Amino acid sequence: MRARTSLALFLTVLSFPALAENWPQWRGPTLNGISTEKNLPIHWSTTENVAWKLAMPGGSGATPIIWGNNIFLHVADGEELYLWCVDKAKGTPIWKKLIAHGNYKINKQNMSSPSPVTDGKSVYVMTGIGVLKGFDFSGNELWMRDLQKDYGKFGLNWGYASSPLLYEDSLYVQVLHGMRTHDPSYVMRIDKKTGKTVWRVIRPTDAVRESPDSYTTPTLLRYGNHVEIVVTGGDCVTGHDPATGEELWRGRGSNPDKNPAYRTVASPVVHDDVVYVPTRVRPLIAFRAGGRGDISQSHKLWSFMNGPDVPTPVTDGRYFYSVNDRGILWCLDAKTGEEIWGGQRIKSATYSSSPVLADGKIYVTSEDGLTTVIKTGPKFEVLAENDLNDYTLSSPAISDGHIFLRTARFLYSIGKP
Amino acid sequence: MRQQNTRRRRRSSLVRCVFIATACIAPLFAFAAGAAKLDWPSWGGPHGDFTVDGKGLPATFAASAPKRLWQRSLGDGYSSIVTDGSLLYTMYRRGHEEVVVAIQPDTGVTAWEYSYDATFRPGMPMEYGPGPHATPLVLGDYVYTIGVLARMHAFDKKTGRIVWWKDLYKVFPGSTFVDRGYAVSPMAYKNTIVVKLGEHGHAVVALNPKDGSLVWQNQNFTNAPSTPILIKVDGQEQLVTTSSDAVVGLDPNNGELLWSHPHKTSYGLNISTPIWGPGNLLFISSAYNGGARVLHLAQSGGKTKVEELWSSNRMRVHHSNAIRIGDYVYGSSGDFGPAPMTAVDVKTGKVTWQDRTFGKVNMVLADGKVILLDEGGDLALVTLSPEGMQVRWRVPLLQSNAWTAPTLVGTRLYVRDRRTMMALDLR
Repeated sequence: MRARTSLALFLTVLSFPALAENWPQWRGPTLNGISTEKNLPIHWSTTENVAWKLAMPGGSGATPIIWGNNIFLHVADGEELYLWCVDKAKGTPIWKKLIAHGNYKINKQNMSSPSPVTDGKSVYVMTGIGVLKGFDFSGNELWMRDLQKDYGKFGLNWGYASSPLLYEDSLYVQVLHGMRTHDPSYVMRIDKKTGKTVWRVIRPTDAVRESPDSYTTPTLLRYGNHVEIVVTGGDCVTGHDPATGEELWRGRGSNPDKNPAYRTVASPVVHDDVVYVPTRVRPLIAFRAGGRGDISQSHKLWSFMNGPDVPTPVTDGRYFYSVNDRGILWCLDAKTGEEIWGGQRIKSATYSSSPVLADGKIYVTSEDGLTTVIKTGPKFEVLAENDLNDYTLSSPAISDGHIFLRTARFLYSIGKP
Repeated sequence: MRQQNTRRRRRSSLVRCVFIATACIAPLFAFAAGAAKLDWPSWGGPHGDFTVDGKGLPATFAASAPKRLWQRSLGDGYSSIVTDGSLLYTMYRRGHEEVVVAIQPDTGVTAWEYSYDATFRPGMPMEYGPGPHATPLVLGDYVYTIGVLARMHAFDKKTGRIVWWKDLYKVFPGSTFVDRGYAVSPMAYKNTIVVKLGEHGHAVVALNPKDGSLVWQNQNFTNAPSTPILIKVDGQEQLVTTSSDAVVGLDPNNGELLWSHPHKTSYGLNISTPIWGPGNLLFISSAYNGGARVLHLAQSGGKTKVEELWSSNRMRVHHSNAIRIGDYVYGSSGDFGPAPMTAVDVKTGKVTWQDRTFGKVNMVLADGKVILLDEGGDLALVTLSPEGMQVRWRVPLLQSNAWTAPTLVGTRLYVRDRRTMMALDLR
């Protein structure tokens, strides 16, 4: 009897929760687009290898956020913005909560671009119109902020899109703009329990016209005992003290020609003690951690002239993979920037979604909903092309052996039913 | 119009049992005297006494109301405006945040700002204004600020980068908690910043400007929301300030007590900045059941001899400033009801005249003329003499409560109320 119980327990642990990794924020559990899950799907179509699909009222740039059996979706429906909680196993909505009125579309994106973020107890969602709310997992609203009301109108040319960064007890929110405002850009820390501002610091740059605009999401840099908030945009990358927001270091050089249209879309990537800083294609710069003040030269490791504009790169620390907007891929040595392979074409399309890396594979999804599966490592090899044939801006999320892909019309759970 | 009058009446009836520390706040640069720099680095201006030499002000500046250069919105607060000549610095409140802001003097555009959580402790009565009350200090490359919960920051003055910060109530436990908000402005002395906290051996502390580390701490008196002044008594530098029930002279190098003299009022609210002037006369005044007194200070055998010349309850300066011109001190006297401009003979305490033209006023003395901002928001140029007050011009500019002292730099005047900040050209 005892033996059977322990065997059952063992099997339960083995088969379900132990393997299920969460995807608690835009770039996943380690903030860099990587999942440690294994045995992930390679082949699928709209009907094949689909556990379920759930109809969506419209497209979004936001990634599905996953914790346990909950999927959180930022959903734009007409003029409303909602937070949905969906049952991960069944694909059915558990609750839908109105975040705010006032959604609108501007070029490709609507005001649901920022992805939600969760700590496993509460979920926080920022909107393109500056309303930021906290909810518990039952859908009860904890608090709300209206950043445009508190600090002035957002002035990005194509609408606000950054996701908040969650670290310990606080959310870190950037508003980097300039094209449609004279107000300064800023970074702020918000207490996740109360929604109150802990600090708000102006982030001055000498970027001109559209170049102050940044659609990126801040990330964390940890090395030794240090934890720093990394923010890119306005022709530079800055590192901030989480306690005060103080700018500890600044790396310049992201817009060497002072191009007035150098808005930043692809987000910074951190692996170990290296910060990778995309800009508008060129130059993508890698900086070493540990600098103070101006690190533009002192901590620069390498730069790369064929970076992405929109998709955020992914790296496992050894190889650095970059997908550009036309579906041309490069693999670089993450430490030296040396080209391992380059200029490899996948299916011609526009690529806005960011690649994710797991189980020895990289998943790259085009705006047409085609996901190319590529083998990681020093040899370029396409393993599969999987077509969902639907407009897609959202980046994939990985959890529990499944890939969650959000197209304009559906949220797909790709994998065994 | 009627609405406005009603509102004003209600406000003034509210001014009860309170301090509202705008004017109480004050760093002093008494030894910058003589230098005609175009700055106003701390509470009270270049000399810490709200006087400037008036150089650069044309003789005609009294002829008509000044031209408005710019105005901008600014959040709530009584913190006054300081400048190093390059940027203006002040503080305001936005919801639960306190904001330190640097502003371009020619345009009013924000150069940088930094905000931080300043959620009030439960029960803090902030109905007379949420602060910030204290005025920043510009010193060297840095600007220093203290908020209503005694959180102190040092910023790089050009960029707003935080150099250091401290929660003074935590670093100095048991400091007098001011339930209407901390209000004493930081003050520079030699290479220290002097901060008044109250009680537990750290009533007054001196901090290293570079890193905020403690240089010395001294005294046990209960804090009062007034900023110290630096004076010279027969050649000896003294830090003079009020506690909750006395006026004291301290050695500014170590905080040792040189002398103390009783000066009591209700609630311990000795707010207005003391005035030091010719004849070694120190004028102190408080509202409520306090009053005014003048002390004569002299060095005798290595000690300071303190002699009270007079005391009177007819001059009761609340939270605004008073200034000395010749042998008279002028200031608004009163708290609950009217606060007429009052002229008092500094040697005898005799009230020579009172004038109800204005409400409570804050003043700057320049070139023998007084620029005053009354609490209703009117700006005026007046001359004050033992014979009476003459108003040269008077313009409505701001709104009640305009309790922040004006800042005069060259020919530029900077004023604020709880919503708006303005720059005026006095040429």
